[in-house]
Amino acid sequence: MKGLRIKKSIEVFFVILIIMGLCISAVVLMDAGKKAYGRIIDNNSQLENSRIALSYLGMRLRQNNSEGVVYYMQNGIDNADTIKLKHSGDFEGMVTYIYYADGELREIFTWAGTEPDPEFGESIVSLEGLDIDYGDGYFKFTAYYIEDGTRKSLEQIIGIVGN
Amino acid sequence: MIKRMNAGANTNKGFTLVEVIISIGFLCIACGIIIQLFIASGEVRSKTALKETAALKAANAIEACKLTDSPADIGRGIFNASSTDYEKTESGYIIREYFGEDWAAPVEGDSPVYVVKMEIIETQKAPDTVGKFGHGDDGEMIISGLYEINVTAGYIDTGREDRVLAEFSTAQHYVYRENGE
Repeated sequence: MKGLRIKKSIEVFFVILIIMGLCISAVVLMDAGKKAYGRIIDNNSQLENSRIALSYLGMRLRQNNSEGVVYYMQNGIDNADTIKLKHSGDFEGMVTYIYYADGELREIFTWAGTEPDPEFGESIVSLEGLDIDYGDGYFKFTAYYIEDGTRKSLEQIIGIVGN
Repeated sequence: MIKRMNAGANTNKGFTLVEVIISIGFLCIACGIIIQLFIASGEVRSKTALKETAALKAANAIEACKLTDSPADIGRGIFNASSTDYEKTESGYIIREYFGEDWAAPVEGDSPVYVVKMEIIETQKAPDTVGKFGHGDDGEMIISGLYEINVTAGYIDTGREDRVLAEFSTAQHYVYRENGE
């Protein structure tokens, strides 16, 4: 009878030990999974943001790709390299400035001739960094993002008619 | 009946160790399947990102081609000349631009991993659109040509089935001057 009790106690002890081990490993696994998934989501979000920025810049330039519409301003708004788009038609007399400041791609839509106030810049997307280079008949955009702590970049070239 | 129910309620019988181990085994299998799904989604994500970057590189190459004044200028100016090679073919040129890991510029000493290949093919042979149809005032030949430009971006390893990650084509008409025959 006594031997049977001892046997049962050992069995219960092992069951509790296994369940405890399972619980601990489940918690560790969930925590690791949470961290890994969070990192993947963060990387993905940064990469997508840089793609959104390049896609937006490409779209704006292609929509306005005609003589005397697109201008490049070195050290323009907020001392950042800026693209200036002159509008026509219903928006004659208006201009759009696109630039990068305070970790964001921004744009200001304002009257031509007025000094654009950087405070009124509307945020398009958050970015780690953006370089705007103007070459002979083309713009080269470099959008930066962070992947697992490393700074990486995506480049886009857009040819333009003139400025 | 009540006597029997009471007897059942007072039974001191639980799960055996074997039953617990089996249920833990099932739980582990379920966890394994869930983890596999996460891994697969991560792989799909990285493959998609790689293809999107390849598409961007190929689109950049097409955009750069459109900026040139003659087929001989393709690949010059915007691209890093040290990582580019040219090959003259019967009907045009093949230009390859090499990249390292993550589509970055290749590091010296490291083998490149990805390549953007531009194939420039002279397509139209009709005399009114292509060929040597005149001379400029300075004696240079004026050449007019319609070219097909095929751009592929992918792995350098030719043995891979999924070597090509992105592919674009465009047509470009050039009128340019060339020295002598």
